[in-house]
Amino acid sequence: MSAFFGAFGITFTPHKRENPILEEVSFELEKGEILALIGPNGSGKTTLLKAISGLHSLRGRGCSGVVQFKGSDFLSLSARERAQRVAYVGSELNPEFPLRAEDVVLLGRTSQGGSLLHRMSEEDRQQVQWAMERTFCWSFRHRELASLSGGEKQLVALARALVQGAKILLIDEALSKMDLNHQAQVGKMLRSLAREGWSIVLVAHDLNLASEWASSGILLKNGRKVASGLMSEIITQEKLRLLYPETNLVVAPNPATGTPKIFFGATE
Amino acid sequence: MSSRHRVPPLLLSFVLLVGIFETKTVSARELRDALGTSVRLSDQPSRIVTLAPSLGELVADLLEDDLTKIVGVSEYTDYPPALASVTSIGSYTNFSIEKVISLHPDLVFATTDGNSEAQIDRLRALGVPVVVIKGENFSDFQASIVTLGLALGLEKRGLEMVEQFKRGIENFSVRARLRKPKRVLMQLGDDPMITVGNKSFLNQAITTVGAQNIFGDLDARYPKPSIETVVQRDPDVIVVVELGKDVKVFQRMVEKWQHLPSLKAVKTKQVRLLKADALIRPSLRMLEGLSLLERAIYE
Amino acid sequence: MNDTRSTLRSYILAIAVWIATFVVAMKIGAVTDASVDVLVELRLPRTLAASAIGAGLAVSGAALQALFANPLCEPYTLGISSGSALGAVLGASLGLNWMFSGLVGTAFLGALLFAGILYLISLREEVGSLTLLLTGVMMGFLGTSLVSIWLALSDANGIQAAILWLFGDLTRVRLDGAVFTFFGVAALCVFIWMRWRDLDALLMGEEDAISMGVEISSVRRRLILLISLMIGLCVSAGGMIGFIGLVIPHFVRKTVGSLHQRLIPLCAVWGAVALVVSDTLARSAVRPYELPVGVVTALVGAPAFLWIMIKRRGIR
Repeated sequence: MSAFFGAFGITFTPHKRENPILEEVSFELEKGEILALIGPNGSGKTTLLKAISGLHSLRGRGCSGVVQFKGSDFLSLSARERAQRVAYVGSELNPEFPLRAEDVVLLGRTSQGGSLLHRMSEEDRQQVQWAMERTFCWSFRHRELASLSGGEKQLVALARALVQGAKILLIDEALSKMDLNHQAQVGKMLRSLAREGWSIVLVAHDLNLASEWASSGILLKNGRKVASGLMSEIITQEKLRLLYPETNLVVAPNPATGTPKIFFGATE
Repeated sequence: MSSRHRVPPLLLSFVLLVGIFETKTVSARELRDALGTSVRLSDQPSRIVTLAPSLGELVADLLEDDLTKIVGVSEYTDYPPALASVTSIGSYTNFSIEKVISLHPDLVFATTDGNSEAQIDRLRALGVPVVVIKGENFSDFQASIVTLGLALGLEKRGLEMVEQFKRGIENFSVRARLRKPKRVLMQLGDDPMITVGNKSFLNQAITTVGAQNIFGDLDARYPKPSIETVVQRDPDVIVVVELGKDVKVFQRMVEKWQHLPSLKAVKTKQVRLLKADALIRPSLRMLEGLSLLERAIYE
Repeated sequence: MNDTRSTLRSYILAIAVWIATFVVAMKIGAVTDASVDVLVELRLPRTLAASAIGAGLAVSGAALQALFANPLCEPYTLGISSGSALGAVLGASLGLNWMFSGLVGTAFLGALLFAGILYLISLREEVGSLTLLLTGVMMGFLGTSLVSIWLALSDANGIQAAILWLFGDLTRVRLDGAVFTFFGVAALCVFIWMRWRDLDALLMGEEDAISMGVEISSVRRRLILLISLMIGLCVSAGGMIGFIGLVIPHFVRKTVGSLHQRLIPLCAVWGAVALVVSDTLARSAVRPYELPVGVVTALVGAPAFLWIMIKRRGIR
């Protein structure tokens, strides 16, 4: 397998369910690629990301699949080794305990280890600053997480993923609460990370956001992959009708960038 | 003869009056018990249940030879030995009402010193005649003997026993008057340390032999003060009262005091172990117990 | 840099307060001019034990709260202390008085038994933290019910002693037992402290912790083992003392934050202070009697806990 990171035949049917949540989903990710994961609610996007990052175990009955990182088996690695390669960012950061933003980001360095007596090594400190500056949250690093807005918390979560040392990011609707300005800036930031060699899988609630930043994507419906390819190949009227048959959607290119955009069609 | 009349006749009449007053008969066989409740009794009760070991002893004493009349006793009723084989109705703090009923008693004796009021009420509600006596101090004790005697139709014997008791007590009082009172800690248990307060008749036992209970100021029966308070009050004598069969437990208590050598009682080797089942039961054997106590404190 | 200095300051303050309360506790008592043997036999063991047990309970509470990312956890949540109580009462009724210098051996064994069951359950891959937590709570209820049954059936003398112990009893422990407990707790605190990075990562929840690289099952197992040993030791020395494990971590977090490198040691010291103060109150409030120390911690801890809960509402 030549791909940098690949998932093959991911099937996930947890206990006592009739229909699988995921059925034989495969995809490959190259270095520097931003892949969008698109599908309606319940199509299995979050489950897929959690399965390939190791958060959901694929060892039970009704579950199977192989994940490879640079050609070798990924899921058999320890949690620490996995965290050093792949970072999963979920949509919610809900702390039950008082924590400051920079402390939360520092937690992302857990997989890098450290000494008992020194909480932060010089490298840790540098990484935290770099990540928080890049995700535009350095200015509120001393604030308590609980006092931040949803969007600000998501920036912090993103920074935390960046410090892990992993070069693969799985972003699971982690941009949903940001304001327009931040969304645009984060999008730009992701593009530049990709240029620096990072690989990103992006689940975005807003299809247009995904289409703007991602270079390729896969369409999921009911746990099955129904299409994959470049964004321009999959964001087409007929492909979208597969996913959202009841909704009248129109695809047209963004006048400024040319990327395909989705609009609601006229209502009769 | 003269020693007999040492007991002030006034006191005796007082006891009689108290006794009669407390057991004022309202009709043919109706008795008023120590709490003032009116109880209907048969003329010659022949199926008797006692709800405390001390009551068992007293009733046996009153009946003298007729012990077959006792059909039920509480757990641990072992004196006189004949009572050990009588049917047990459970522990005195929580006896089995059903068991009592199944024995068809025509007279049940209970005491305020331990029996549950709720259970007594249930028995009465089920039609069982229950005579309750009080057991907090020596005069209660004497009155209770009179009550028991009357209930059993053995008034004369009851009054004789009271006499006996009073004479015995007087002997101790006489000796006590000639002594300098020693300050005593009476220990009944450990972890927590249990001692005797002024609501227990054991307190009276201590004063009768001419000593002073260092916790006699506490208005409780068996209080559990802190060890430091004992050190503060520094008794002359510590008497560990051995109850029950496990001697080692009480020997350990005696040993524990040795760790506090600044205590007067420890310095002067006045920590005593007293085996006195007789002392702690409000029965006529208490006189034996009192003499053992006297010896433990003053010898 | 500022961080280090303020950390140092909080340590010094905490330790100074502990020393002060220790000295005051040794001076307070029924005997006004206490001789050495009174101090050494009566006051030193319990003050030392109170320090150890307070520290142990506070640290266990903090670790449990992190382990389950649940601020309502405390040493009794997992039912281990109910196992302790069960061990103690069963031991008492069977006449097994395995005591080492006032430490109730059967209580320790009871704690280990329940902890062992939880440990075995946690070995299974598919058991998540929530399941484990609920299992612990159920075991706690079971243990408590069994203890109640025993109490209902036993006689007056047995009950008295058992009830006092169940409300916390620092009067039984002797000097060598107190020293043993002190060093045992200290060692366990160090072992738990060494896991501070894992504890920090767990604060965000199990999933976040895994995605950050924490090997959840082995970390959980090790922590449960350490925490159970700690709770077993504390309960066998002083009975069931509540609220310290729940309230102290919350208070310390408010001043120094949630990160465990600092939280654990400070919880230990402040937990010690809290219990020494409670014990001193317990034995001087109603002379000549003594209140069970667990009553004092409850009377002080419950309103303190309510206050914390109300304050949290404000943040949310």
